[in-house]
Amino acid sequence: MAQLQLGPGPVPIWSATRPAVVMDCGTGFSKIGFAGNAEPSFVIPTVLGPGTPSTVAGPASASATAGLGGRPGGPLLSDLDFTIGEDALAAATAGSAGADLTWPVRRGVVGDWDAMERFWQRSLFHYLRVDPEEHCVVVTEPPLNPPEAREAMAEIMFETFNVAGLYVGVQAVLALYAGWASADRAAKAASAASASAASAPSAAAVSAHLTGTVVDVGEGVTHIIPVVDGYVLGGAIKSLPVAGRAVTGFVQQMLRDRGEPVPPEMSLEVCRRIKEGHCYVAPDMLREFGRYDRDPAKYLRSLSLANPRTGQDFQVELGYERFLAPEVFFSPGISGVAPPGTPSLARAVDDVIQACPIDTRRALYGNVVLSGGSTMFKNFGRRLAADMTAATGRRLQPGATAIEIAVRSHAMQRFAVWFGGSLMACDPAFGSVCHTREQYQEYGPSICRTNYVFRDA
Amino acid sequence: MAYHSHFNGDTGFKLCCGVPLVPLSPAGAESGFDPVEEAIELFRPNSLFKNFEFRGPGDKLLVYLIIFINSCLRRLAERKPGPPREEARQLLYAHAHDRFALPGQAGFPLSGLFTTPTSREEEETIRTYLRQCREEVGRRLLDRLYGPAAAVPAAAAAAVGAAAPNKHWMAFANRRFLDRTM
Repeated sequence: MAQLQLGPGPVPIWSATRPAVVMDCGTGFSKIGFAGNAEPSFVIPTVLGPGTPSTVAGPASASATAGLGGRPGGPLLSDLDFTIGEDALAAATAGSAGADLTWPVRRGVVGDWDAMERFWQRSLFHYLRVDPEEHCVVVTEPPLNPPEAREAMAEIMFETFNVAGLYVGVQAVLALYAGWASADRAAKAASAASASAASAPSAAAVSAHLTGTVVDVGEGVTHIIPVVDGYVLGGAIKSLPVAGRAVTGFVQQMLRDRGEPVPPEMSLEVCRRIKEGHCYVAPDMLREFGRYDRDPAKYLRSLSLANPRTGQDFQVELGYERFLAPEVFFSPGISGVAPPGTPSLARAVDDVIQACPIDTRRALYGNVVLSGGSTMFKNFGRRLAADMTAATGRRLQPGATAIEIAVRSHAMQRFAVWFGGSLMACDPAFGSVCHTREQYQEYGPSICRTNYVFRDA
Repeated sequence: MAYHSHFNGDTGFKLCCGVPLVPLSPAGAESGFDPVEEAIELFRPNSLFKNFEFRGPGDKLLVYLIIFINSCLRRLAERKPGPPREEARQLLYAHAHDRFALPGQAGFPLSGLFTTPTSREEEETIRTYLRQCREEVGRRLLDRLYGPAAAVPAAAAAAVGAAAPNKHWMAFANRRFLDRTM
């Protein structure tokens, strides 16, 4: 296990007093926190915005540029005068209409490295309040990320922040790791009598469980990633443009068609709240319309929301979008965003698994893991399993064994990738796979091109 | 994936201009399953789709009726706020019996999918059938938009309930199915 020299005496890479920092920055939201926790400490939108306007009284602007003795940022310090996350969105709505927000991550891939660096700086120093020199950092990367992007991450982390160590994890593998660990923990709790269960899993046991299809439905893009024995089968990865933002857009379109009195500047926020609070996946679109007709009182809802600008309440009625919005995953023809010919989610997963080597397919069907915030709709997993069973059943020859399809939802689904990173960093073998500062200074950023999941010491 | 008609296969109905002449259920309390009922059922889910694949003659009639239902809703939406039940009934009746284009004539929304009538009596048959379908659609749509007709027309209660058409249905008035209007 690699030892790190920090002050007097050797200090291991991970210890209880210096946990690794895990940062999973996606298109919509960034999940940041410390390894060893079950949940990220902060979930903030991945956005940079203007600093608090100078017209606002002293204390508010002082916090934005705290390191400069509380002086408000002027034109000379505009580089440092920015906010991230919720503060950025609030500052943008409070400020002029032309306030610019920067979204550094587009469709899962980092587009603007300068903005990403500033985002990380704010999250490390202002939100987590850590000294990066003493911690290892785990960041995540989307599938099919070019190695140059990993090198750019390494350069920023080691040169700008001088972190003690860096590990770049593939989001799909971390999600599988999280799914397996949750199931494993449940199994261990159930069979507590068998005392021979080792605390540290052997590499072989882990690799057998790191086979599965990860359906990562985020805010900007959906990825379907097959992983076999811990290796991502890059040639079979599929990405769909239908994700959380498409669902919110659909809700917005339906409310607009009906003429609901939603103030335009709050429209996106209201729709997001409706999507998260009231939407669910129906087993069949047509029958659901029938259910709404027969029993409107049970399904139609009415929300009363406050407009902070005018201080008045407005009523919004919810109707079919409750089940039609998540239906865009399973019938992309109804969404205006998806180009014609986009396959439904079940069909896409089926295509991905069919593109994998034939001996891995049954294992991939048997372990479909969901990850990402947009999979949290009620009955999402069940509908996906039902659609996939129908699709595969149509192809079966008479007399062939039916393909067993298991879609696993688990408690950590929402932050599955972050949780996987947290578990990975707590693993005793983490020290041998993490890239240390010494290695970076010796060999340069190219060491970060490969990141092993497990390594026999 | 959109929903298709049940009358696509070889159902034994006579075809006219490529459309099966399925007899409509008589006007009454229980309406059996006929093309009009099917069109009203499938109007809402199918309107959401941008593309539609025609799988048989039943689909042609289905799409014609869906476009017609859309034109009915648009006719009702012209009056803001929504018209009360009695006025809506008259509007829909007038709209159904309006002069409408037959297959082969200018202004027919699905030109190319319906075959032009070859003889005078075929033209007459299709005109009567379509007019009958349109009138049935108008009648049954009224029940969907305003709720079932009150048995005893109590003045206050019926007036309040039937004041405006169901806004969830009216939201579909803005959509254009397959970008065609009637």
